[in-house]
Amino acid sequence: MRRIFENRMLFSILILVLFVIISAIIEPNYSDPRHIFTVVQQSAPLIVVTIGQIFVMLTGGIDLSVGSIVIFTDVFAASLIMGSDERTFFGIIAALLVGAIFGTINGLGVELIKLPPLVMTLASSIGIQGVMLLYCGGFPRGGASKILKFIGSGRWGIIPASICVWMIGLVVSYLILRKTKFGWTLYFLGANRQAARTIGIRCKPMGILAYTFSGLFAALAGVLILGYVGIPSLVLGDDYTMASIASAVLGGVSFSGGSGSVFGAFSGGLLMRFVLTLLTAFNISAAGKNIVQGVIIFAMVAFLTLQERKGEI
Amino acid sequence: MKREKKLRSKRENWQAPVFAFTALFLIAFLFSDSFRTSRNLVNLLVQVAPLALLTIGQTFVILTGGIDLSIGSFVSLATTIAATTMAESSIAISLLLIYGVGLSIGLLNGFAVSYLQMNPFVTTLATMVIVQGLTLHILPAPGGVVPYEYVKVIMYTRMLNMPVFVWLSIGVSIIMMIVLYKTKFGLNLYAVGGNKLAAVLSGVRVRQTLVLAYIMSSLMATTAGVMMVARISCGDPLVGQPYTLDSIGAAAVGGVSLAGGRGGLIGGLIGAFIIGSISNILNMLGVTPYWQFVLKSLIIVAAIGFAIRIKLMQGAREK
Repeated sequence: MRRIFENRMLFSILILVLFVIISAIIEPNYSDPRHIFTVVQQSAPLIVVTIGQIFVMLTGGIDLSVGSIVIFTDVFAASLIMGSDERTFFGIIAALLVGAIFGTINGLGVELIKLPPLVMTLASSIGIQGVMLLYCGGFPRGGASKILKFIGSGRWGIIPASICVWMIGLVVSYLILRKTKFGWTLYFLGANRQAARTIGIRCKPMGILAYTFSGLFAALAGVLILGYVGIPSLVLGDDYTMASIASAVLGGVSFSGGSGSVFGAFSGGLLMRFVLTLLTAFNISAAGKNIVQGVIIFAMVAFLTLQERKGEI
Repeated sequence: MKREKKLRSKRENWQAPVFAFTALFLIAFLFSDSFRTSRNLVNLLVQVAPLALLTIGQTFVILTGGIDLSIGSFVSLATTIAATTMAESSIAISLLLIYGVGLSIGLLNGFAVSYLQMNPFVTTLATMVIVQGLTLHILPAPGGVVPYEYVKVIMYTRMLNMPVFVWLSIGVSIIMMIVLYKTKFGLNLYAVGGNKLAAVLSGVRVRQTLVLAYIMSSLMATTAGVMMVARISCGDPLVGQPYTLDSIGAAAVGGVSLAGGRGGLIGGLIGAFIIGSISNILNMLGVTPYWQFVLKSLIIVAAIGFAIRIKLMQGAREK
């Protein structure tokens, strides 16, 4: 039991399970697996964005441009695919590439010009929005193809197809973070950059790569949203910046960097979504949802902070 | 005295923002006839005033090594409360209510950051979401009534061709500069942001200073909101949203270090002018809105990158 409290990620999974059980007791329909999988399907883009955000947060940075990258790739992929199956693969690859390039630009700004991550990604989020508007002229065209629509919103039985996407994303990034030198370097960078440099780790290229991954996953989320909605939108995705940070924190990723697991994206993202659906069941307005969400984030952070301090003493 | 001056110049580095500001204004002055009109310059001041107030609060918090993401939503909250209560009850009661709410949420932020030692970014992110919820609860869409006598006093009364709105902002800015540069509290802000442990050991009341900084920032935001409501003469639940990130950008452009302990209000206010006037200047130069987004981000990156270069060069020279 104590170990669960010590491991922040396990703790957030515990809260997630408790939350699902409680909501099933309050509203019996909520224990229906069909409903649960609907929520899982809706949270797919958030989970994917959060994976990328965690890469950056591990280094002690933050990426405020993910929301803009999500919107850009949504619009960009739609205009390339134009509803044809043959072009889907090409479109997705191009979108992911562009996302990775945007991420790399962020990384270059942070590591080479030495801009604070907050400012660099904030500036680039404005810039990317501008590039998006210039690209589509304020009027997004095109749409998702059949294959992409299936990936975004299709199901096998009751299991949504988009599960595959973020499952693969989670496993791959877990392997990258735990089994490769690059992954460990990110933890070192967040924990103690000075020490990392002293023992001869090349900080700059690794730091840049973290932002590249963040942009890549944000682009993947943009493609997923396109598949789910079917048509591009200029505004869908703006909320993902703050939501991804909040769900990473709910998933137990430390804000100062250096600790946390990528599986926090899974528990944190799902928790955010389940809270929202439970509030919908209570017929609470958008305003009330905001308030409850804020209180939950606040309480969770307060609790985790107190827990951390107990560990120190 | 000389030593103190030297220390102060080490704390604040405002040459780079001044240079960026002059460059931007010179370009606008030379290439646009409509920018030069006094009408546009007054208009520019009206546009920049709320951002300047928010940047003051943000600078205080950033100097302590924190950040306040909730201030933009405070502006919205203030406008919605004003638009729903001012006409029904009296203006004074409404203002009291607005400042009461602002004070209590600032207190909550400060308490969480100082006594609970919660991370400022996430804490204020949470309060931002809460305040946004409150705002949407009060007014889901722009609307409400602002009494004409209030709007008249703040916006339409002019002294030296400038609305009271602008004069009030200038007055508050001067007071806040005195607070930062001449009081013990101002010095404590630098001490807390520079090295918390050293501040504790030399007897600075770190917790009180932090709480005060967050209260200041939310009060500045409420003041901006109270003035904003006179300008738009209705309540708008979304009007404040862009201001949060703009104020952080303004502080950063003005040479306030996001790590805390370095920078000041001279730089911060110039930063507010740079960020706040970019749109106006680009409009006057005839740049289309889509290109404005791209240029704005490039200008921010260039201005801050330039400031950082200068700082690095100076650091190398001192060594």
